[in-house]
Amino acid sequence: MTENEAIALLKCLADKSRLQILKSLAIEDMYVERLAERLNLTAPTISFHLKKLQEAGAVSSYKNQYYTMYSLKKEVFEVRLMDILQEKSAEAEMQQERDRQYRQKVIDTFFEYGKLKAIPAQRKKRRIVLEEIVKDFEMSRRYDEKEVNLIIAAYHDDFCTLRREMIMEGLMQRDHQIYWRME
Amino acid sequence: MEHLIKFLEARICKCRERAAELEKDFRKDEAVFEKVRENVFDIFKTVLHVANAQHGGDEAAVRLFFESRLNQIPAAWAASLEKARLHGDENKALIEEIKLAAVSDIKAALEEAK
Repeated sequence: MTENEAIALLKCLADKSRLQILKSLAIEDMYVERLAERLNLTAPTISFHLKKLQEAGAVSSYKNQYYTMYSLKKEVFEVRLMDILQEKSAEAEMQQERDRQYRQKVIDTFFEYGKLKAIPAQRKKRRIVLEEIVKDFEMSRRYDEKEVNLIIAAYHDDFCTLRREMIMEGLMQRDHQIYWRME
Repeated sequence: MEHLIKFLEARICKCRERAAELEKDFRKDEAVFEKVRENVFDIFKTVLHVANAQHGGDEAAVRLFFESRLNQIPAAWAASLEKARLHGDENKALIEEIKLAAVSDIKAALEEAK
C-alpha cells in the first residue's frame, strides 16, 4: 500500500456510517437495499458511502443476478498499521537526499584539502565531521593511543579533543588505552 | 403564508440540529447532506421574505411570486441532476436529489397552506 493509498483509506474509514457498512460486509456480501435496511440509512446514502469505499480500495462489487453485491476487500484490512509506517515513501527519499546534501555541505565547509579547518561548535555538525574522520579507522582493528593520535592529527592539531569527542559520540570505544571503532 | 415561514424555520432548525448530531457522531458526509438541505430551506425563506417585502399585504401576489421562484430555482438543479446521472457522477447526483427532495417538501407545505 502506497502512502497516498493509506491516506485515502484512513480518511475514508474516519466515518461511522462507512465503518458500519464495512462491519456488515465483514459478515457477508450485501447489496445496497439490504445495507440500507440494516443501517437505517437511505439507499442513495449507502450508494454514496459504497462509492467512497470502492474508491479507497476497501470494497469491491460484482453482479449476482439482479443485484450488485458488495464485498469487503479483506486483504486491505490485513495490512498492519506498522507496515504502513514502514512503507518507503517519496517523502522519505527526499528527506534522505536533503540529509545527504546537508552532510556534504558541512564536510565542504569544514574540510579543506583533507584537513579539518576548525572543530564545529554545533554538535550536529561536529558529529558529521567526526564520522568522516572515523572512516580512517578499520572496523575490527585495535589501535593504541599513539596510533589514534597520529590518524587524527592528520586532520587537526587538537587530536585530544577530537579523540575524546569520538568516544563521547560512541564512534569509538576505549579500554585501557586501546581503541577500536564502533559499528 | 405565516404557516410557510414557520415550516421553513422549523426545517432549518431541524437540519441544523441533525447536522450537529451527525458531526458529533463522526458522520461528516451525512452532516454535509443536512447542511445542503438546510441551505435549500434557507434560500426559500429568503425568497419568501423578498415576496413579502415586494407584495406585503397582498397574499395572492406573495404566493404567486413564491410559486414562480419555487419552480424557477430548482430547474437548474434538475438539469444538473440529469447531467450528473449522464456522466455517472453519483455524488453530485445525490446532492441534487437532496436539494430537489427539499423542494418537494416545500411544495407539499405550500399545498397544505392553501
